[in-house]
Amino acid sequence: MSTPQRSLWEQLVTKNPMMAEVTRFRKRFLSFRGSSVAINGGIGIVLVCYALFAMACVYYRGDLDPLLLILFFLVLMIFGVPLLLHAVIAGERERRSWDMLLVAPITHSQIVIGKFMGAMAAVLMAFGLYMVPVMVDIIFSPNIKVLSIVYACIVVIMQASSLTALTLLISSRVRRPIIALGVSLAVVLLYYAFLPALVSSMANVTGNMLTGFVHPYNVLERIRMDGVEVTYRPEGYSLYDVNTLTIVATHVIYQLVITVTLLGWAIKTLVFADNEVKFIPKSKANARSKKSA
Amino acid sequence: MLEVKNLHKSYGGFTAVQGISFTLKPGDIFGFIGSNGAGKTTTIRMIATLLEPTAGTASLNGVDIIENPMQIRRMIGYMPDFFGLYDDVKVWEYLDFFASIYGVQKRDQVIDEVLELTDLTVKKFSYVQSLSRGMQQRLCLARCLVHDPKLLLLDEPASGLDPRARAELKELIAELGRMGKIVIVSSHILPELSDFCNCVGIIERGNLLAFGDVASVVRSIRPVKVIRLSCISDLHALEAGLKAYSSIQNFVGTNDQDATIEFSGTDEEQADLLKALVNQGHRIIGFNEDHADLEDVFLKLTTGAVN
Repeated sequence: MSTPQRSLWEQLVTKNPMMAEVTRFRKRFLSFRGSSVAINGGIGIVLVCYALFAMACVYYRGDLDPLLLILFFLVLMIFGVPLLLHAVIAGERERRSWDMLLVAPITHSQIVIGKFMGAMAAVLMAFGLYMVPVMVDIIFSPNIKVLSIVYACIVVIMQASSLTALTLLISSRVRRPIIALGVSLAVVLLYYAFLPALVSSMANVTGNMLTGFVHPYNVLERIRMDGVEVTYRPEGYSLYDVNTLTIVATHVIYQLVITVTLLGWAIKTLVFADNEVKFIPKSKANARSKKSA
Repeated sequence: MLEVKNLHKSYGGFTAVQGISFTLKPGDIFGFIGSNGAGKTTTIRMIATLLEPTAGTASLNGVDIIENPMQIRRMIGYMPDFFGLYDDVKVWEYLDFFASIYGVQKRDQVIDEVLELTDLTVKKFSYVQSLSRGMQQRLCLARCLVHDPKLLLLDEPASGLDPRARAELKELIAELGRMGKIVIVSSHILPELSDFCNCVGIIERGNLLAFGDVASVVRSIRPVKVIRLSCISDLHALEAGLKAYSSIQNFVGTNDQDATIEFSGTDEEQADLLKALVNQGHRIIGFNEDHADLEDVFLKLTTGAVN
């Protein structure tokens, strides 16, 4: 029995058996499943909110700023992704279904990439559904730039990928889902609230370049202000001196690097079956053997 | 054929498994017996490629577990002692997920076959979370079977099951053996193992103390037959009569009527002995061999010490 040689792309994406996760994630997050009151109740609440949002978009069509609506999805996503995905790996460990994946003929990379693609597919489907009523608003919006909408969607998708990779990494490094959720939310708050505040406080020194390229809010705001006469500009080299495409492209590269780094770290974290045998640290084992001697 | 060669596992200064070796052929059902912490699970996990051996190796049909773990994984089905199932999926979806991971062709047909084999066909469209513990155990076994493995590693498969579920599982494992699969079952329930295992191994502190078919392992601790004898005539006269037989190693009277003798002869010699005693006028009402079982073997060989 010989395994044919496959390229990295084939191994991880096109021929990755763990792509079955895409179907599982879709069924898990985007359909009413089983008898779980929490899951079905949660999906029900989301559906009601979605219906209200869709009605608002249709009623106020053309009056709402579509880029602000996309920015709102970003806010929902930074809390929604950790909430939905924190147990992707930690949950498998806790419920003891992890061994069954480890013993299958798949590599750690395939497991992590499969879970990442499944999670991303679910997030993208959610984004697609969110964009349906937003499109109604866009169609009726005067002077809207289609390119700005495309840029904004790219920023959201890239942010989704790094956020998903971050949640997967944390989920792979802890044993209990609740801890994974707490750590994920803490990191998200740190990255999206405290860190920008800290960097902004240094704007006198750095201008707004530092946060401008890396932070999705700034990038979205720059896309929104594209072509608009800005009355206030901070001193020094300003983000408004750089064209939008450069900012978006830099942001995409930045997010890709973050995503790949976090996924690589998550793959390295999946240690060789650790949940059964109690490992004794070398120092303790040596102390024990000295004592018995 | 599964060949386990001098398998070791150490963590720092602590040795969990100390040089285990055995060989199994297709159709063998191997009962792996040992106290908690004896090294059963560690050995099974090394064969399942979940733990890397410190030394030694194992091979299945010539494929080495260390050199080709991916190829080995396609040939084994592993059922852990504690396991969880995805609770948000239906039975067929759960099997379909793993069948696709194993690259199984004609998944629908295979799923129907394993569900029939594990007697879960009626639960095909039920949610996994709605199944009883016994059914979940069978579903986990069905998952192990979707890719038609050559070797099944079942770690405490009967734990937590009621007697009926245990009997059903036992029958299922026996059927898998008849299908030509090598099955390794670890269990504490020794009488059940001797019912369907054609070979057993006893492990303690990471050492394989005994290995072989059930009869030979039992013989290893009791090389002579122990016969319980009852008579309603004079027991002392019977004892005196038995001294003439060199195959009688020992005679212990337990009361006025009953005695235990250790006999080293064959079955034919045993029959001749009974005939001779009756012909001598002894009024024998009981003459039964006291068969040792796995529990006796286990208790005699092990001390109860754990790693």
